[in-house]
Amino acid sequence: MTVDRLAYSLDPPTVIAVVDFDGARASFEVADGDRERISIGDEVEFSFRRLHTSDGIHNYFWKAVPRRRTIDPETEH
Amino acid sequence: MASHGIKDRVAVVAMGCTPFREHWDRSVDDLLVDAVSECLAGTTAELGDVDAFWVGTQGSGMAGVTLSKPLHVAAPVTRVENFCATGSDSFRNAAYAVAAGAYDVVMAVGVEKLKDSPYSGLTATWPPADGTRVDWTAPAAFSLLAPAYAERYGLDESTLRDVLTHIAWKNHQNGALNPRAQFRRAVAKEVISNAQPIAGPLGMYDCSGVADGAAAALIVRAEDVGRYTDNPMYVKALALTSGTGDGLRADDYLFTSFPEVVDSAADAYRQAGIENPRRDLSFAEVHDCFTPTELVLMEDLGFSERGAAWRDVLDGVFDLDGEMPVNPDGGLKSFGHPVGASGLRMLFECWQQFRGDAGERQLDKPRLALTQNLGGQPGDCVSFVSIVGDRLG
Repeated sequence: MTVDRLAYSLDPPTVIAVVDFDGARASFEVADGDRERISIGDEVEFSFRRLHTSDGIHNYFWKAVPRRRTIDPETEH
Repeated sequence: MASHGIKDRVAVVAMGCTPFREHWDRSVDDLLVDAVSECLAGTTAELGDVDAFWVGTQGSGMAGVTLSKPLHVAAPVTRVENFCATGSDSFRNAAYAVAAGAYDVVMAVGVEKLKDSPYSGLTATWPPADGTRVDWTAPAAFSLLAPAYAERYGLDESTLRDVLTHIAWKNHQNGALNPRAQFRRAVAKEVISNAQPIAGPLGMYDCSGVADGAAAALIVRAEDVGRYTDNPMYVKALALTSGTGDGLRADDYLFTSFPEVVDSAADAYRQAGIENPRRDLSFAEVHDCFTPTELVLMEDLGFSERGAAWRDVLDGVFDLDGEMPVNPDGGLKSFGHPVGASGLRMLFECWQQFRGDAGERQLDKPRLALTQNLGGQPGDCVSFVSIVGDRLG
C-alpha cells in the first residue's frame, strides 16, 4: 500500500492498495477512516463507492476498506 | 524469442542535446531544431544527407510531421512512443534500419515539452476505458519498491532513508557539474531526508524533476564512420522487453525487482559478450525516476548481488569517484524527465564521456557504458538496455 499525496482526490490523500486474492491480484483505492494506517499483510474488504465524477456524472466501483473487526448485532456494522 | 544483436555494425557519429530546462521561450519545434542543429554541427553530414528519421515523443506531437515540419524536410519519419523508453526505442529502431541495410545515414531524435502543462508530473492521454481504472501517480506506483525492499532484506526505516538519500544526493552532486542539467546545485543530505512527503516513504527529492528538452543522434554503418568523425561511438547491444503485466495481476511478484530489466539486461549482455557487468562496464546511465528505482536497478542490472545494493550505495560504489559510477551526468534527478528525450540524453552522456568532453564529471578513459531506460510501473513496464563503446571489438 502507499499514500499518494500527489494524485487528485475527492478526499485526499489517495491511498492505494495492491490486494491479493488467493493467487490473483488487483490495485484499489482504499476508503474510510484509518486508511493511512493499514499496513502490508492487513486484510481488507470491499465497498461500492464513488470513484470519479465528471460533468456531474458519478462513476462507482469497488474500493478496499480496512476490515472491520467487530460487528454490533444491533446495527450489523 | 531471441535476438541476434548488431554488435559493432553501426555507430553514432554525432549527437546534440539541448539543456533540459523550463523552456518557457522555446516550443517543441524550437527544441527539435536546436538538438538536430547541434548534432549536425559536429559532423560533415548535412540535413539532406539523412536518409530517414525516428522521432520519439510520448505526448508532444503526433506522427512523423512532428519532426519533418520544423526541419522542413520531406523524408521518412517514424514517430515512436514506448512510455519512458520512448527516446531509447527511437534510437533502437533507427540503428536497426542502418544495420538492416535499408539506409546509410539515419537520425534518432527525442523531444518532450512537459512544463506547459498545468500538472507537475507526467501526463498521458489514455484510450477510453470502463471508468474503473485507479488513478495513482508515478511516485505512488514506484514508492511500493521501498518498503518491499526494506522488508525483504531487513533494512530498518532509518537505513532505508539513508540509502535513498544517498542516491538522490549522489545524482544531484553529479548534476551540479553538468551545465545541461536542469538542477545544477548539490543538495545536502538533511534537506533530502526532510523534504515534504510525496508518496509513501518518498519525499520530493526522491522524485525526478519535470523538464523540457530534446536530443538527437546521427547513426551510420560502422565502416563509414571515417567520413563523419574521428571519435565515433559504437553500438554493442540494444535490448527491449515489454512485460506481461503479471506483477500487478498475480500475487507472486514482490516489488523488489523489475523482471523486464533483468530480461533486457541479460539479452544486452549476451549481445555485447559481457560476462561481468560491474567489472566490464566503465559506467552506467540508468532510469532514476525515483530513488528506490535506482536501488533496485543496481541488482537487476547485475551491478550488485541480490540484497546487497543498499550496502553498495552507502559504500559509494556508484558515486562519481566510485568503482562503478552510475548516472555521472546527474540522471533524471538532475535533468528532469522529458520522456521522449531522456533515453537519448543518457546516450549523450556516453558520447561526451567517451570523447573526453564531460568537463568536471569526466571519468578516467571510459570504454564501455550501459544505458537503461524504463517506463510503466513496477509489475507492468517496458525496459530498454543499450551498451555502447568507444572502439570496435
